[in-house]
Amino acid sequence: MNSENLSRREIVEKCIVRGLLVAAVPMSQTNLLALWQKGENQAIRPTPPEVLGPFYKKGAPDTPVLRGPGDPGFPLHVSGRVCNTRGDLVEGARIDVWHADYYGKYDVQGYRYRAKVSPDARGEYAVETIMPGHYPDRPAQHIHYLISAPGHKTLVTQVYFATDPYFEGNPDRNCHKGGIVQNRESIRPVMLYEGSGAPRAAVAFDIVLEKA
Amino acid sequence: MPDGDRVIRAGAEVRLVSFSTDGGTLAGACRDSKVRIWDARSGALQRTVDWNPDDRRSLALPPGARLFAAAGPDKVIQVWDLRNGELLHRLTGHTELTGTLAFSADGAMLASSSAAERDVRLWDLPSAKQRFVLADGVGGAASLAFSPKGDLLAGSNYDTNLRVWSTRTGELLRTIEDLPVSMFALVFSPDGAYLASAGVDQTIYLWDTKHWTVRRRLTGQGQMISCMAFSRDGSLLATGGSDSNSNRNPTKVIFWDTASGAVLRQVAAAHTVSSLAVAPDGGSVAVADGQDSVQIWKARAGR
Ligand SMILES: [Fe+2]
Repeated sequence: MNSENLSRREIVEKCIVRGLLVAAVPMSQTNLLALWQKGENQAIRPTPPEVLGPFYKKGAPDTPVLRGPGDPGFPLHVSGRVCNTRGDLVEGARIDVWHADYYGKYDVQGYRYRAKVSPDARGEYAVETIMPGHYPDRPAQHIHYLISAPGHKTLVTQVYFATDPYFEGNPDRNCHKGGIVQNRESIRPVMLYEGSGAPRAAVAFDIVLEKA
Repeated sequence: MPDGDRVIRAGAEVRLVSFSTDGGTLAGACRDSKVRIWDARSGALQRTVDWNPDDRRSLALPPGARLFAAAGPDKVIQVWDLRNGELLHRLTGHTELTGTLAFSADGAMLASSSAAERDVRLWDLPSAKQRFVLADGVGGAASLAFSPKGDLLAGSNYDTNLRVWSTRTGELLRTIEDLPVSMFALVFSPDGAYLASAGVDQTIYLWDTKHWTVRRRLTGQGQMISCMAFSRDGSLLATGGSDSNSNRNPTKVIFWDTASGAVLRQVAAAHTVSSLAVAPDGGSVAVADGQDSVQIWKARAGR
């Protein structure tokens, strides 16, 4: 029998028989096989959606740098990996990001704090910007995302910040306050670091797309 | 707070306004889950229709004010007859929260949008049956409008595109992708020749409904535009504003001469204008501007 004709299940069975796949605790071969298959089928959860909001604007410039020299606001680095629910890299993904300025205003005339980025060959993306301001009608800081990729469902979401005073230091308890945030996972921890002698903030936000 | 030429006190924030077909009464859908119906001339309260006191945020009150629709967290759309306060329909089918609702001019159809489902549903009202599920953009509908004859449904999505569907076949007839920002308000001219759209970029676009090209642009609002209404003869277009920083900031209402694009009158509004209705005789305009009252303005100052 040619090994190419073996099913994945048969290969795993062979591995178990030959001692190439062993359990950490005593376990029957059947249970071991079932556990392995469960792990293989485990899809990564897709990034939960949030609302698009009224201020999306088409045609944002292709740039990872949204922060201008001397811009007011806490410097912020947002980065992550784009993949699909199987963990595979996604070809041709385009990420639109937009947010309010330090004073809580969206630029609707031009493209301040609006950009389009593409993940690199390893699926990583990053943007340099500032912490968005608060605006009165939606008083939690956030960055809007619109991510499209061929063969995948377009994702509309937002990133919120666990440090936002709006969550009163307890995003677990206050995540649904005011009906703004739809998903607790959209509120991300903030990492402080020093860059060029000044404090900077970094947020990790991975994007998991569903197949169309 | 700016007061109209006349003020009708409601006792609760008024979100939508509409005149009866004969202009004798004005209906106001209020935030306290009541539709109040006033004598349009005296402002005296004639009747009140209560709807469910739960959190129904999506509302529709068509011209003529015969029907009223509200949708809430249970994803059910309820339709009332405002003449007798009777609950006519409970439309079920949406699996996610609904946003924008709109009636056809004859009240025979209702369109409902769900941002999360990324579709617009078209309901046949006499039968309360779902006619079509129309695929929409990723942002949810900002506004929906039926053509006067009811053959077309237009939708402006927060993805900034305009879409036009046939209500007869459910076919997507047109997607207009020319605009970079969202259009918050859509309304057809009474003769069906134009679709007016306006929103974030402070401009009113008049689209020719034959070729779907921009025939005219009206500029001068100087703020985002949140709602619009034509007079019955189409000669007047009223537009209400919204401040991009906060819905509580002051705005203005402009009455345009549709033919010339001239401003007939400009009046102040307290907050974002949520609804406008031109009286059937074209002489006055009712404005809901986030206050516990309706401002009634003469279409032309000093008349
Ligand atoms: Fe926003």
